Amino acid sequence: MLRFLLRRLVGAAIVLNVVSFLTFALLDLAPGDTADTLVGEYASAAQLATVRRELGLDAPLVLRYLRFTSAAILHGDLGCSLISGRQVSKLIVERFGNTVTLALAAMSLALAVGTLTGIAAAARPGGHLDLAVMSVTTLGLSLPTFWVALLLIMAFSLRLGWLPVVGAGGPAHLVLPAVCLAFPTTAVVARLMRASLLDVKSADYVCTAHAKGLTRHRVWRDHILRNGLIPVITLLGLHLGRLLGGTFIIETIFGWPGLGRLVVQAILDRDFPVVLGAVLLMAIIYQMLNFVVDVAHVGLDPRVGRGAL
Amino acid sequence: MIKRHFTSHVLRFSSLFLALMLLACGPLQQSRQPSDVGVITRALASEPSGLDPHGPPGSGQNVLLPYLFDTLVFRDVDNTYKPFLAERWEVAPDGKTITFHLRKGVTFHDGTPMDAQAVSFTFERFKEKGAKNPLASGIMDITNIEAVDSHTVLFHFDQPSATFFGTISMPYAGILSPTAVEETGDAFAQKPVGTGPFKLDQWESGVSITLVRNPDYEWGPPVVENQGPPHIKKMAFNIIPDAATQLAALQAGEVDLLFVNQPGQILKLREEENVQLIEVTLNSLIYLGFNCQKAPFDDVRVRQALAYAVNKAEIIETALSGLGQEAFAPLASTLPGFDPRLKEYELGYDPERAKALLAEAGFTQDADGVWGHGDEKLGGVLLTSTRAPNEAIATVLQSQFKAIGVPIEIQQLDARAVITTSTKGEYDLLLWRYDWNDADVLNIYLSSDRIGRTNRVFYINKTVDELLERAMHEMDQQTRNQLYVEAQKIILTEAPWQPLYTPLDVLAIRDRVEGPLIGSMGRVLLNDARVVKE
Repeated sequence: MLRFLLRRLVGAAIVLNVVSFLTFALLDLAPGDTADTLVGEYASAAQLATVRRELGLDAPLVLRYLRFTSAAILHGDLGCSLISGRQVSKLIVERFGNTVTLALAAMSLALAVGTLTGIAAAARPGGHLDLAVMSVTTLGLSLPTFWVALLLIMAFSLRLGWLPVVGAGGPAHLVLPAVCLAFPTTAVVARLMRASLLDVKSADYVCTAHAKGLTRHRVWRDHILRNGLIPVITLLGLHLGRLLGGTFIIETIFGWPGLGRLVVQAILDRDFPVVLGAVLLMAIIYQMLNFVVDVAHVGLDPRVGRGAL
Repeated sequence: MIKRHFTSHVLRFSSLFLALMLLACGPLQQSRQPSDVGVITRALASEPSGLDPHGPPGSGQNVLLPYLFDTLVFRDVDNTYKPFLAERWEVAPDGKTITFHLRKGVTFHDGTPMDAQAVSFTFERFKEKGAKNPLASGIMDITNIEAVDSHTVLFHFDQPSATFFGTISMPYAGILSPTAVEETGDAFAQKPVGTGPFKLDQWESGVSITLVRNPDYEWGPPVVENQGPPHIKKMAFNIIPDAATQLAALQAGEVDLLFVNQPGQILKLREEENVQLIEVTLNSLIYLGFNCQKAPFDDVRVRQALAYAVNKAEIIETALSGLGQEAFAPLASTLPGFDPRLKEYELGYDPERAKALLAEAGFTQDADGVWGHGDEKLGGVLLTSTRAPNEAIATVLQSQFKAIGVPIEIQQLDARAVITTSTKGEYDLLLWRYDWNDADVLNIYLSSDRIGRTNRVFYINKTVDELLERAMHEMDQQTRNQLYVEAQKIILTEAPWQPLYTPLDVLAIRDRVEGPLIGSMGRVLLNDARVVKE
């Protein structure tokens, strides 16, 4: 277990370094830098040069990268936003809470609705319910999220007046963005759940379980569902990572103060400390989620075995 | 008998007086009561990074600053200057000294009195900290600021600056409380303290910024009726990045005020019953720029030819659903220095003339009608930003150029990238927009010493440079306007720009709000505003 953890940590450190360097390099390739944003459209060339020197943006890429990493690794300091001058860690923490709330709400909705409909569809493959689930999920996968979002706003906020269009604060504000985000994920979960259950249903060990006289209920609970859930959990891990990274489009449409909007604005402003801080956070989240998924696999699937840890 | 008569007269008189008083007070109090509890909400597309007027000018900041900070002078919609924190001022005959007499009894939100010391502190700080501000060059013209007594300030200049009043009436030139700046330091951007009609109440990052009225306010600008504290209690700015959501929020009543500039949205709002639309002048122009240092557009005949190929009426009809006004001069029609007689210098739509000019420049048409020198075809890249409705306009321009035999490509980048790319000259044609409060905008965009910065079309003409430089230091408005007219005649003929149209910008107001006043540059004054229904 300890060796496993250690190996994972080393891997994570390498990934974080590579990710931060790539982000740094990509931002550098984009036309314009933070100094351009700061001085605005009307400044003189001398003004621009002064600001660039003040911010240390005139140094070569590698030097700037080393400066950033040494501060980040040695002092745990992600620096300050070059635009607002506020601490990057504070900015990110402020927004991350909202992103977590939204991601968890969407995820639980997708998980609950997705698994239930998946199970219902798998119980009688080819039946009416199965057909209905399959067609609705196809729709869920193919409709663009921003369009669904606008449709929901028109129906529930403008026509019915039940829910607010925009903002954050109360639970009412959470409903529409969460439903929007959950929509495609629910569809994927339902389809994967169904496929995986059908796969497991015809496995030899299920046959054995039936043959040794277990009740239908116990066969489903202990054998089919337990095994059928494994791919779904891997998938959920990936999707949760995506949601926690901030969902720019939905956050923008519903005015939700999440991480995605912060990062996209920072990219447009070429505010690299904020971009890097957020990218590093996302990389760490993915590392952690992968780890959790692996551990969950061990718990659910005896075949993976403790040896994997 | 006489005595009784007299008493009855007095009685009659006083009862009449009382009745008149009641009549005068009655309706006033009635309309006052509901509004005193009102909150007006406005949609803001992006959140300002801070509210320090001398900080980096992020978007959204200039919308909020005028509510928190007052300026020395007030710029009216007709581009004249009215007293504000300065009661009156004198410009020395040589134009190198301006004396401001400050209004007495003005206090900042923190109770500090607004005096000559605060004014000189503000502008000294601006010179020191404001290098990143768009007004920086205007402020740097001030050589010295001198507080003569507690309410008199002298501004000294090396040479007269015609743009100075424009500069100090901008939101960024608001006067700040010196005590608050000393106390809060860098956090001033999060805790701004000025003399404005509203104070900062609450700032919820990414969601909203709320201002509360300043109960001590007594120094509103002369253009508003109510110089005292605003009638409404609070003003909330809700941050709504998406244009479609902004519209939905207005329709749902979550937002009262909204700026709209997309033609489709304006048309939609015209059908909305509870919403009033007011046209706003931002002194803007949308123009097509040519890269004057890069072949083939270094040849004035090629620029003229493409200018003649542009059908402005068709652009407005097709790309803007008719919402916009054809422009012919490089200066927006609302700026001093614009002259309707410049119309005769316009290179108006004339495709035959365009072709003749291309032939004269030595180009020939191939079998497909495309112009070129042998195998080298005429054409180029049209650079513009992703902001609506640029794509639609660019597409119409593309088809108009194709019609005379010049195929072009469209390249769309984010605004920041367009600025950087065009400053380096890595493009052929540029579709761009300006909003500026002074005719000096021509100097910013077209004088040759701004090449490498704001002159992104690389236009060089010594006569134009000289005219614009003289206009910058000319204090007589009429002479100054004439200089701009002369410069525009040359610019129109040499065609570094083809002016396209004046955009229609609209402020949408829900009918529960009455009395907002539109100032210059789209500023919305809420001193007189009331909430008439909840």
